Amino acid sequence: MNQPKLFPKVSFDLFWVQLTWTFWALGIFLVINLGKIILSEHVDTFYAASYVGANIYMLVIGIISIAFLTYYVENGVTRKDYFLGNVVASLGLSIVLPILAYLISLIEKLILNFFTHIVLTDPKLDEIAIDIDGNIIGEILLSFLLTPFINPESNILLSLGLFSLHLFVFYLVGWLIGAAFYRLNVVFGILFIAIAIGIIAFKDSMIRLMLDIPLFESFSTLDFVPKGFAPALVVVTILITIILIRQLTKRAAIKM
Amino acid sequence: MNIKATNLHLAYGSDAVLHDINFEINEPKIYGLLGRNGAGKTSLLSIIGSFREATSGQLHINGEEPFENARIMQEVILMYDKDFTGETDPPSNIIEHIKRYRPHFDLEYAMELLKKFKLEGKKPVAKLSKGKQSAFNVVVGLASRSPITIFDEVYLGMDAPARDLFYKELLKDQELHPRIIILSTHLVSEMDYLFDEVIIINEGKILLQEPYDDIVSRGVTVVGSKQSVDTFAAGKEILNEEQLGDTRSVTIYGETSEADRLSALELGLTIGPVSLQDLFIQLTKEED
Repeated sequence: MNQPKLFPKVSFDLFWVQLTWTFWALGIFLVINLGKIILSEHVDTFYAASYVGANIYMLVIGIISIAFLTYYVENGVTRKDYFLGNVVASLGLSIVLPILAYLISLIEKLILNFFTHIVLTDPKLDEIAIDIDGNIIGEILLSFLLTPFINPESNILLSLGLFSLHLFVFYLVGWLIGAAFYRLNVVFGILFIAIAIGIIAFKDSMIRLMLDIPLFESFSTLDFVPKGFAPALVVVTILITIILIRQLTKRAAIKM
Repeated sequence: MNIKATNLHLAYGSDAVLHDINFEINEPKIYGLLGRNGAGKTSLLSIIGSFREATSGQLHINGEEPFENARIMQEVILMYDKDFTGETDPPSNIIEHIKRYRPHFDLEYAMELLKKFKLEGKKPVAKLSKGKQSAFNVVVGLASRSPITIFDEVYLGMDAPARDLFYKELLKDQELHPRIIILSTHLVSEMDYLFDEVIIINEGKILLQEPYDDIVSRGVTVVGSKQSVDTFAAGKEILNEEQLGDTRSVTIYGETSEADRLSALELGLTIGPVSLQDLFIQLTKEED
């Protein structure tokens, strides 16, 4: 007899539940953005403003997503179907979120242009990070906060794609950390936080190489990588992260 | 459905919790899994429920390993005393979601049970009392109608009327939809009438697996005057003794012959059945 394939159903359900959380998150981002518009003069577009927040949001829901493992095994779904389902769901979420942010941003701009003279800006985030060069902790923090950004008005597809890529990697490293804490212990959990930081820093450095943005000084040793190899290395990094998550969850015992 | 354990062994690091477990379950009946705290009940059930893998040995369900086996896992449900912290949905919403993954789930029956256990409100499960949360687990377990349904002490948090309602529903639904039901418990005296078969586990080993009727016929309780009881019990394996004034009650382990019964009658003794609880206590008593 064939094994039932439950992962499409799991993908749909996990996508849907995390999308509802995302609506809440975008709503909160919008309130903050509107608050800023009222209070200050130079305000980023909603799209640019949600760029930073969305990464952190994806990291957090990635960490939480390990709880779905218990839920699904309890309901007779294999760890494999859970894993495949959540990879698909998180990828879908990473694609949809930037599109939603862009649409909200467009509507916001239209309304503001129609009723006010407020001009929103899409900053180049990499330009802000100049004065702390060389401080590794500062740079790691910045690589979390200031992932390379492309103005949607210069190239909408590349901008959305890059946004999605960041979100997906942040989600995956969150999931990786959650899985390590669940399967292993606190010491290994912390070790995996370090691995996650490494993954983010490496991915950002590769994207900086691809986009001809200077690397952070602490990661400047990576500039030997030929520009043409960088995209492949990003894909490999993502695949390694996904494989690590699968290895951690493949035979994980459910905590009762 | 069939569950078969062969030389099953489970250790957490160097701490062995199940040793060389062998048993087989074939019929859609209610099985009582009895064991003291830490005997290995939950560990054994978590292997059947694919929550974890055995360290060595085999567990087969319908001849296949259940772990990561999508077809088998859908047919087995293990309900336990779950932590519902952070569960913001009310019972009725959760049930509709579970239905998507449980092929035999009966939504109508689930709703009926929610009403019976007074769980039909919109309050998030996390905010329900411990007893109500336990009742919710019971509802999910019953309404899933899984061919292998396991309740691992989920009823401990429920009050006596709720437990009674659960026992009644269990028997009623089992009659209509027979399945393998495993109830693990140490509330032996309260639940013994539910069991068709009893498995006693002690210190990680299966002590016995027998039909309920056979187990309780393994011994008798003899009540009468101290002297008569002592005369009768001489040379027999005594499980338990109690005395009040001159009246003595002795629980004797082992078959009673017709001759024994006659001599008891002559001595003016009353013979009664042994309770499963007494047998359980005696069989799992720690050696001093």
